[in-house]
Amino acid sequence: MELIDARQLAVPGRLHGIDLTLAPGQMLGLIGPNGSGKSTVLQCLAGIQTHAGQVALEGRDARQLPASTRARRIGLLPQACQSAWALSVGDVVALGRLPWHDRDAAAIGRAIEQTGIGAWLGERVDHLSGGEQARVWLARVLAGEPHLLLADEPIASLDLLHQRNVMQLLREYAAGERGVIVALHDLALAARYCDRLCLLHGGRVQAAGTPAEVLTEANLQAVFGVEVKVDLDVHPPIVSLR
Amino acid sequence: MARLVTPALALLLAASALLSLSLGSTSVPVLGGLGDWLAGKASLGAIVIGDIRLPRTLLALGVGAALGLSGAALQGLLRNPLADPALTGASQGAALGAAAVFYFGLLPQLGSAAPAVAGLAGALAALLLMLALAGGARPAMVIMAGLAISTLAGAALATVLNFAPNPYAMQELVFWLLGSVSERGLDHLALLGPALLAGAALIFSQRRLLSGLSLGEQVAESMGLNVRRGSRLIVLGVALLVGSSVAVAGAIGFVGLLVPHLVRPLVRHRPERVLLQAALAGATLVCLADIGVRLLPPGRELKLGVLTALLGTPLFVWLVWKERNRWS
Repeated sequence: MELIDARQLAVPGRLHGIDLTLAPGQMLGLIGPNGSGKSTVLQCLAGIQTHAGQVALEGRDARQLPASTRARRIGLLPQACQSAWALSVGDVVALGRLPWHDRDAAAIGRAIEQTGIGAWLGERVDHLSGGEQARVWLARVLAGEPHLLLADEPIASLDLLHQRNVMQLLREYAAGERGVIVALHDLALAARYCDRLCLLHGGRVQAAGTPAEVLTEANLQAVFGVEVKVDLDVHPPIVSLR
Repeated sequence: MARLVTPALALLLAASALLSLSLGSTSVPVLGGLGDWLAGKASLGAIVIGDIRLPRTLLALGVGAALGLSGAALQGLLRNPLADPALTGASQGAALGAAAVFYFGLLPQLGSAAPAVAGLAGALAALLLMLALAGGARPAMVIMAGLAISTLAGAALATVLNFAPNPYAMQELVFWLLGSVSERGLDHLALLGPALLAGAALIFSQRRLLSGLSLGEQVAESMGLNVRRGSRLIVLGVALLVGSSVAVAGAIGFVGLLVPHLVRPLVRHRPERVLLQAALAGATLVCLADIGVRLLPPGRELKLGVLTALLGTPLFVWLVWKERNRWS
């Protein structure tokens, strides 16, 4: 049974009949230019964007699920995150337990350990650097221990070391009954860490499949309008401008 | 330390209430007078404490709690530390309702409680108009609708003042609007009490939403929280609290805006935990301000709303300064 199965997702002016599936244990990368619909797809799957089409979560119609059940199964890490108040790092991570109505210390502890933010628990989140904050926002989602983790450009503000660490963490999270869908701009990282890719263009799926099937020079030139050199046979894979 | 905040604030509140009960031109034992009043004895202590000071003290506490709680809730909902509960329009609606009493001499059978009853009706009318105008909009737009209704009620109030039948009616209205808890009875408490309980229940039922909204509406929704429904319940609660407190005590400014700021650092800035502390601190602050009014030399009375505005303005200026430096 698929972890999530979306059919004919449509949002007027933004998405036009997107089909997308994810099996447990897999990591799917959503790639495509700015405005291609990556964030909108994630919002539809998270249940916070009104859309046409069907979404089945672990075999059940997502619209029939109570909001709290859906929130326990699906965790969304939005592209832009900010705390309105000067909350401590520990309190932000604990917010991830809101769908569960608890403050499960073990789950919160695991999220803190996975993201390596243990040293700042008492710090005010607004006093951290952008990269440090990005790890705290990720820890908040991990604390909810969702089966499906949706991450919208989680490495956008991170340095190289933490880009690798976060991608590695997401890769490891997608195991057993869990899966990850991540929107990315870095195509080389997408090729390296994702099992499957979905290339979006103008709210439509341009190509979907394994990185080798999707990251072809023809596909990328058609979507991005630039010539790209792709070499997926080396480690790490290379996808760069010519 | 956070665990000691609630008991400490409750203790401060109790101390200020006792001080308020014991303060006055006649020296009577507080507990003795209270006991006589409860037992139904017609002693001097029972009259002074039970009929005069107790309603005034309870009203000051109730109005302060309502204003503090409503400010904390609205700031949490809008994620904006400069949001004032008067933004819901209920405050101006209540003022307009009360003004109609002074102007048209409505509800004469209710005596001194007439402005309060009309004020509550005005607040509810403003609230219904605001909710109708807001429709299915997001929290920020709900407040825009409140602002529109507030402006409308303000314009109507200015018209009432403009065409006041005589200078005395206008003076009476202006003095009433300046805000005070003196010369009120238990009938005013009977109006404020249920609104305070209902408003507080609505707001406290949405604590998880306030908590989730710390990280924005998108995150709150993704965590299964119903932002649209919850924000309406919070605005409804805020309007009930503000409308009823303006209806019984006139406009007492700055408490709703400032009290949440004073207590926020004590609860690690968590918006859902500010609520109770803001209610306790608001009650204490208004009670102490009323004590301050009573301690001023006899003669022309300084209205409670004027005192809170005079004390609150420098704090507000400081707040704007701090926010400016934070974002510049």
